[in-house]
Amino acid sequence: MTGEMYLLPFFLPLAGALLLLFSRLVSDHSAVRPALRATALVTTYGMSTLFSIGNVLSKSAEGFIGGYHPGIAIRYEVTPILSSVYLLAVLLSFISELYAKKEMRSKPDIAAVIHIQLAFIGFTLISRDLFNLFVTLEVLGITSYILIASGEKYRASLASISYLLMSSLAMAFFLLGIFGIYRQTGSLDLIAIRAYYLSSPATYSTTLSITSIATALLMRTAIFPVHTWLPEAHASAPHHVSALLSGLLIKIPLFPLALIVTLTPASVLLASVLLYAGAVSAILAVVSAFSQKDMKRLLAFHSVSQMGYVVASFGAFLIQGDTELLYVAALLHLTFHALFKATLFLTVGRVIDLTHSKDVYTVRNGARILLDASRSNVLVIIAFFLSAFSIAATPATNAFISKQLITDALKDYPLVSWTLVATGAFTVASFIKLSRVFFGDKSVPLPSVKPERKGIDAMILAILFLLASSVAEHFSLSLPLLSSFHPYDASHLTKTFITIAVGGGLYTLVRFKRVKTFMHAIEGLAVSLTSMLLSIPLLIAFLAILLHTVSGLL
Amino acid sequence: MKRWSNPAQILVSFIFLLLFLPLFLSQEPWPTAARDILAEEAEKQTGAENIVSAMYLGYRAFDTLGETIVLLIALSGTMSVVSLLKRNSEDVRTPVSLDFSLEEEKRAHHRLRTHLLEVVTGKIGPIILLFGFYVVMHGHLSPGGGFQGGAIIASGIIFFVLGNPHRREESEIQRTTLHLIESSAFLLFLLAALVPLFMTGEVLANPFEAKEIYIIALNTFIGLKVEPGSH
Amino acid sequence: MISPLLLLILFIISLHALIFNPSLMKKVFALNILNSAIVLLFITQGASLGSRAPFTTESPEQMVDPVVQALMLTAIVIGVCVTSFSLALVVHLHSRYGSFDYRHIRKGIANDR
Repeated sequence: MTGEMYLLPFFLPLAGALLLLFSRLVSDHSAVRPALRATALVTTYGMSTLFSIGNVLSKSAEGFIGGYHPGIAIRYEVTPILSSVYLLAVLLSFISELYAKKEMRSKPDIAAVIHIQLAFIGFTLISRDLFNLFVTLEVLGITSYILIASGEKYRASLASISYLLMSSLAMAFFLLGIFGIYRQTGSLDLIAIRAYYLSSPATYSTTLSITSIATALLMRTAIFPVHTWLPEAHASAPHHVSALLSGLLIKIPLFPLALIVTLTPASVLLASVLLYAGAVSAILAVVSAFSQKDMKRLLAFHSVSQMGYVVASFGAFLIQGDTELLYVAALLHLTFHALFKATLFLTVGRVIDLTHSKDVYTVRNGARILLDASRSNVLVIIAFFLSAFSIAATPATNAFISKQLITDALKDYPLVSWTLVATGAFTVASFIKLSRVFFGDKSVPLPSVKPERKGIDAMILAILFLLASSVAEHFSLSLPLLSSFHPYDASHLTKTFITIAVGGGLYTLVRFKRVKTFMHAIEGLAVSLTSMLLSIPLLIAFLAILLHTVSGLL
Repeated sequence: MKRWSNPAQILVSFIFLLLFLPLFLSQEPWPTAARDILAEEAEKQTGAENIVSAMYLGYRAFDTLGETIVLLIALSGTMSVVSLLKRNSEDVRTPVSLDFSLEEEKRAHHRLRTHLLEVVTGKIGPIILLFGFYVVMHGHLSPGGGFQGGAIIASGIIFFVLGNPHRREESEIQRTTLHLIESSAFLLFLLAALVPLFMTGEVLANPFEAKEIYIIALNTFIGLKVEPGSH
Repeated sequence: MISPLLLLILFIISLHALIFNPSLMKKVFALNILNSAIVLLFITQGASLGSRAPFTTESPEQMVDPVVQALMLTAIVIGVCVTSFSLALVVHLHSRYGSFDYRHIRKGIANDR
């Protein structure tokens, strides 16, 4: 490909969004509307997939947008890895849009928002410019506020405005961080900034600026202690939006974060904060998840927990710098999590829609209800159980490989590694709890559900998931880097079976009254908006003071 | 209602004040490298005398693309929430009493309309529109540009709407027109971004010999984009 | 010297209101002021270079920094957009629960379920 054709796949979703916006102008019943919609889908998903595959197969490319003067213009970098993450984004957006076909047809502007979000996920990945990152992150933010509120429920509106306030506060600090960095370096180009800081001593202002930016990104990634917005936002959004946000959107800021962390001379320290924050986040969130009553809140807390795995291994990668195994482990887990979390939200969403209840303790017979509604839902049930086994990391699933890889690669940090294993046990327990929704007493009469025609979509969805996850698993095992990694040897399998057994044991503990009260107490914990907002400047202050004093001592 | 926040909260804010003090009060000289490059090259590379225009329509036009898209989606998001609001509160009517109201028989439809408003807005509207177009078209030569001019045009149109006695009846037609303007402005901006890709191989590059054309065009598109956004 | 200090105070006051004031409406206003404080900080500091407008016809040594002006143009528009959407959401919640206090709204939502 010549010139900046590398950038084309990222612009195509904008063209798709444009077609959808134009479709508002024709009347609802005209035949032009479906045609415009179909063209939009092909442009956004079909064509950008094709071009991205081209990008994945070709070499990295970098340059300045518009070819203007370096130092002022916006730097970008397209690498095969970023292109494959973008491909994942295309797949998930497509699944999410397909799932909500009916709403998308009646509300073209909401569909356009999904397409625009996809384009800006791409831009966030490739941008190497501080201020451009600010703009793209703001677009991602505002699209998610709109998508969360698109369910038209008051609960979702409150969740959306809480997220909006927290995220905008973080972005204000991001802007302040840009101020601090620009005033020192006179540049917005991340590569030039890094070069500048390599040759000059870091002042307190530098550290404060970098931690401000890093905190804004951590908040978007939903890592303890700035994860507090996520459970309510992802639980109250419409199902397809939850799948999109949990599966995809919280992972994107990790890539700019890696660039920001390496800016500071104290990058090793900041990276170790990531490592431990990831571990803490994994274990705390999984305990909360296990205590939840609302099925979608349970899944949302698991997103925080699984992101803990990814961030921990990202942190370890940034500490060591040259250990590619950690990076691959993080990327694999990120991909697998995107696939199974989206599937979990969508399949559980089907059960919630049919039973009109989100209560994990009272909904039962989910499998029979689904089958009553449509025979093809058998694939939905299979997809749910495959992804539940995946997230619990049982052998022969994709996340089994990535989780073993992460705990192996983190063996230099035994504390983190064992915390993650303990998280695994809780994950198993929590998914035993959730799976019970699908079973139940045969003698209990079922609530009557009207047969639905949505079966075909469910089938496409499930098949897409099965295909994607088996391709991903096969691909990961064939990586040359992993040739010395044997997930199916005795020690790994023993560890896994012990984890699963402990998980089962944890689940049986729920019978005891004390455990029940404890779980109930955790479930009742409601974070006030004040503490949500306060956590951001506090984290910035904590990180800045920590980095400044410790790097002063070294 | 208490007058003051509690002392612990004040203390926390005071600690933040101390923490951010060094960043705000830093005495380092402001960097000049970018300014010097721009003063030298901006007109040659983009054709704009106004360096700020050269920045946001040339060097960093990509940021501007993001910005217009934020405007687009925030507008559609706000409209969808506001339309929910209208649906929910169709029957709520707040009593309005104004000294400058119209005669009794007209008041039912135009509760907020006064003679003063109608006369002033009707006369000033066209002048403001003209000024708005001037600001858009001269954005590359003088202070101003698409955003500022677009906002001025929008206020001109708001004046027209305020001065128009048949406001309620036209609102539906107006919405379609606004959708049309908004979508076409997005189309034009996207074309402006992508056409150079096929002409010169670079996104958002200036494809013309006379570089002013591209800048004026971009300014106009942004003006178009901002105009419905401000309603 | 005095202007960054005043902006810092503005910044902290709005941060205080954003965090501690329970009213969602006031939080949105505070957010707006917070953004303005940062925008003004960029502009005043960028103008420490000179006193002339950034035009190629002016002498380069006298000119203010055009980069920050262009950046802030973008930041202002984004701030306005976020504000408009958040105001719509706040009014939407107010129409149902009759209050801007988020604690009250949260209670109302818990009762609705």
